[in-house]
Amino acid sequence: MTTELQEALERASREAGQAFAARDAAEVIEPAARRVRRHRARLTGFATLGSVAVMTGMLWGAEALSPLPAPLEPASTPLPTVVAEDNSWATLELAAQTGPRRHGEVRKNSVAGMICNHESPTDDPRVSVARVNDPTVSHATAFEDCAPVWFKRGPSTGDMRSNISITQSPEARLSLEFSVVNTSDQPIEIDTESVFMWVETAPAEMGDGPLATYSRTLVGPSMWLDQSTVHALLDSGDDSTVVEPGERFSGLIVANELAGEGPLSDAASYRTPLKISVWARIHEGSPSGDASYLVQLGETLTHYITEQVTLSDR
Amino acid sequence: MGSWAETLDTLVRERGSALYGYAYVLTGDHYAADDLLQDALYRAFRHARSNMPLDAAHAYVRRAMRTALVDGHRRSRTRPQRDHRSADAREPDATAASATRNALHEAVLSLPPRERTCVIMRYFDGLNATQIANELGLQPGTVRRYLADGVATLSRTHGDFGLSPEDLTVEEQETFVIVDVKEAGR
Repeated sequence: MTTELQEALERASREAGQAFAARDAAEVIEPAARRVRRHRARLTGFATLGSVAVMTGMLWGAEALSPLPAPLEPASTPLPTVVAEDNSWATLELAAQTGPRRHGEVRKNSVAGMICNHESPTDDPRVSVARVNDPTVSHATAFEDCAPVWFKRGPSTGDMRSNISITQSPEARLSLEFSVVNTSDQPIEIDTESVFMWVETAPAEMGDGPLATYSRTLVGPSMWLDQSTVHALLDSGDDSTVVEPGERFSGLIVANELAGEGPLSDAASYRTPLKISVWARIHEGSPSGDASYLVQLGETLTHYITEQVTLSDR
Repeated sequence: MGSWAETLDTLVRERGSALYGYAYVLTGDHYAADDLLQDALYRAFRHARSNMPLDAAHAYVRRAMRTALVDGHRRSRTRPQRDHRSADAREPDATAASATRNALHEAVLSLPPRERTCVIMRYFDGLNATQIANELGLQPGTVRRYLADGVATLSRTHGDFGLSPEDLTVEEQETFVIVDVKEAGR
């Protein structure tokens, strides 16, 4: 190891740390705590709305499971009393029925979609990435601010091919390489900054552990637990890409979390089967920026952790 | 005071110097370090569970700072844009070790954010390319390219301070879990 560079960096850190020690820690603590409190208070409001959405979805469960979901009636319409099975396998379907969009996005019940809810239009994770204006990160979206609320089935895509791996050291990391074919009869415009994956576990597979909680937490502030990040890194360099009928679309999605701190670590440890699906925001009718929906790309695949080996990176 | 707030308070009081020092290494500017640390604390605690251990919080805040730098959040407001020329323009000061160390840090700071973060994670945190890749969600080969580019830039300005190419290729064993697709369909 090059000690001269090490020493330079360590010295800079040490001197800055000494300067910090002379300050009043409250100068740092109080602004951070205020900001966190504001955010958590806002999420409490979201969670309340989300719970209502899920309850509605449960009541509409029978129709949600049908191949072509029925149009959502006004809220004043009496709801069916059929209650769908409440487990993580059914969670995605249950969430198909919820309330309206928030920021000018027009819901069409005949078109599949899932909303990535947010406080204001500028809080859209896609928008925040665009604000960075950094060409090196133009294909990455952090979904930590995404509160997915509802969706239906999207345009027809299929022939999903995927290659997935989980690493446990030094941190848990789930990588998914995928490709999918547009099997519909019309072009699909995909927002390449919005592709992500969804991971579910079998009912009761994980008991009440973090993974089970996570996989059922559809309307939480994030699809991922604390201390996790999800980035979708795609082949395309454009803001959106149009996949013509019969064409294949591919990408790589990576999720990270601190080892031992969340669902990925649990999944690797328990070797539980994982149902993994890929989702993306699509633009309806184009151009980009018009009403958009988050829809599933291709089929949901079930993955089994089958072996554990030790490799060295070369 | 809630548990997350207690953890935040304890973290800053007990580990604040180390965290701020790390933020300064990443940014080279006290105001930017303040911003970076504040942002990382917010990211760490806005969804934090009530019983988050102090070590986990510490690790996450460090990681959030690195991620923010790589993603360019801080840089867009406080850091200079990508500019190899600024690093190349720095002249090494062979007469004063202290000045050399400062110049080295400044040269590191002039690297593009991803190269800078990788170099700091390699030479300050002591992580290898695979570990850096896992941390940042990048491919190991990409990290090695960032390291090679960063070291090449530094070597042009500090040619004899001993950067070793071997530093870029040292790897450690890593545990992988292989996952196979067994079934398809909704």
